[in-house]
Amino acid sequence: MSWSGFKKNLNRATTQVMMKAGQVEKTNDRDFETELRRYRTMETAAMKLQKEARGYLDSLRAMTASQMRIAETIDAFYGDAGTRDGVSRSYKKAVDDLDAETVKALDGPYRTCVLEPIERFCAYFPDINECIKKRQHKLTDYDGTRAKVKKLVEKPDKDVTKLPTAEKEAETAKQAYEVMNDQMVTELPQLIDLRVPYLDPSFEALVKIQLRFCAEAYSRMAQVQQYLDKDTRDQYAEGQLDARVEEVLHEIRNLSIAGTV
Amino acid sequence: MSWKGFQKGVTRAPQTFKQKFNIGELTKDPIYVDAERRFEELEQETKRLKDNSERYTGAINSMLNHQIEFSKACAELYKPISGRMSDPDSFVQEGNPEGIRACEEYESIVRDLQETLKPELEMIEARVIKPADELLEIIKLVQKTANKRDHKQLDYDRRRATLKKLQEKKDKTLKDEKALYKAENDVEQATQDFNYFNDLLKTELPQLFRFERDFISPLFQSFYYMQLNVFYTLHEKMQSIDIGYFDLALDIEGAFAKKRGDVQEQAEKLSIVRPKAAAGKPKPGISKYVSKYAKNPTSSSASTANPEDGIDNPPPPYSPVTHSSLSSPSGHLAPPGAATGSTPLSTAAAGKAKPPPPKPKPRRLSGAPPPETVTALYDYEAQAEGDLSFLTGDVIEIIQRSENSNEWWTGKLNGKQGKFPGNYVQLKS
Repeated sequence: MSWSGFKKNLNRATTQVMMKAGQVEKTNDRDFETELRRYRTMETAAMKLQKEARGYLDSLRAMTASQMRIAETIDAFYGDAGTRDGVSRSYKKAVDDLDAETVKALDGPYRTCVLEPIERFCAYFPDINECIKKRQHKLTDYDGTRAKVKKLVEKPDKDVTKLPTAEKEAETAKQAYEVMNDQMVTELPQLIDLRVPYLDPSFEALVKIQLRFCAEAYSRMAQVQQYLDKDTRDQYAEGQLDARVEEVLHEIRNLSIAGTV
Repeated sequence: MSWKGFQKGVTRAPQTFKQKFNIGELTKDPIYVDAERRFEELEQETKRLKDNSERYTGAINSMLNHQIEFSKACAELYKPISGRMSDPDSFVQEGNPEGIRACEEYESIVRDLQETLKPELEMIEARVIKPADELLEIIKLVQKTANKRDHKQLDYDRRRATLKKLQEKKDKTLKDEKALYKAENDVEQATQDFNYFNDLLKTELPQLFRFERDFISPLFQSFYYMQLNVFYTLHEKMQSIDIGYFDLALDIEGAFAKKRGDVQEQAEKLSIVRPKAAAGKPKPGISKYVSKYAKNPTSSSASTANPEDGIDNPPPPYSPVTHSSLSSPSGHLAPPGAATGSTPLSTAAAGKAKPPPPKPKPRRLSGAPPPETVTALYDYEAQAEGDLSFLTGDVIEIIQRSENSNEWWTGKLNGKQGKFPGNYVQLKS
């Protein structure tokens, strides 16, 4: 921290202590406070939106990734068992394509239309928070200098030059504060008003991306069906496949290496 | 470990050591070794199957949850924000009531979807994950048997070594003879034990592998149909989204750009938003995936996607986010240094996208005489009919190009002619 920065901080800290002690009058700006609360509400909501947007992409990826690993495993199982009948292959291909074509192809639009706009919007917040902090500093300065003037008026100092200097200081601080404050009071509502047009298109884009993903995922997966026997579907529906699995498990359990030794 | 087990462990220790360092005579049964290897694979695969099925169901659930939360967050933003919550008069009509309605409709659809998918996902749980889990249990038992066999093998080798040593000893005393007799007996016993387990495993492991095939096939088929059902349900439910709020006729990016307009510029004009910090450089080129979608929009909205696409040489679409603000007269290329000062979030988030292709310096005017060649900076795979594929480092002969590297150029490589994105290559100086 620079020396002047340090001095400023020290001055402000003193003013704040004096304020707490009731020695310095605090300026209240209701307009600003209202806008600040509105801004905070928006900030929280937007940050949540950002989190969810990222989470959605992550879980979509996780889903296709685990699907791919399942396909790999099944293919390996089949390979060992020596039944390459094309099912596991085509399944693997469908799943791979789903990842390579659909998910990755939607990645771009998702980024440009959903993730990046939201992240960009959220990236404004640190700057704004910086401005809010700065305004607060200027306000403290202003309050501090004003209190000084008040004190000098009530209890004139021997040095007559002190009052005009303090008055001048107070005037400068007031101006600095007002510039910042006006900026905040006019621009915060503007930004808040922009939030809907800014973020709303992303919502629509997200819904559309989901639509497309679901449609493509289904059509890709459905293609595998042609490699399966016609009656497999009925067997599945009637629970025969599960019965078969149970049966095999039972047989395996009967092997003496499986614990009966 | 039991006392007995511990004692056995101690007596076996020297032989274990020998086996580790391959000292002395060791029994190796190639058939068993192979079976063991397959067995290990089986174990790993079963485990993978189980883990990933679990992850899969988890991911679907969390995807739906994020969808719900996303729309909730949207609704939160669409609501009119008042600075004085307790004062009803302070609510100005500045929110987005239609948007909120759309959010609610959307949320209810997703919730419904989640409800419908629940039994489906539970089925995966019950019919895939559980059997796989059971198989894993069995595998553990088999593993135990295999361990036992290994121990017996150790014993067998150990006894044999002792016997051999005694046999080789010259001038046997009476004591030695006794020991020899005992050793012979031990070897006999150990051989029997070892052979029993070895043969058992050798006959039954292949049976296990056969069962494995019988097991995985119906399991996989079940899994497939469950998955198909999941996707079908997703597709059906999402397809039925009929929220008037969304303009579903337009494609993703077109609608986005249309709806968005110049809001971003407006926002960044505000002095509290310091655009120099937030505004980055133009997007790192164009993700090739984006270009694919824009070039062949699957929906019927081809005409609306990029109004300026009428030309033969459609430029790769800009991501509307940043480019509209930076659109410069065509032909003018911003020097890369001008924009790189800041670190935009976009590059951090760009994850898988290609790195930002540096802008090639326009060395010639567009009327430059051919043949002109460029070097590929990245691999490019044809995304549509008439595209030119190439690998990094390929030298492409230019047939036609513009000054703007963000457009599609035409070139020739290995006798093939096709279009490719200009920012994937560098001009030869």
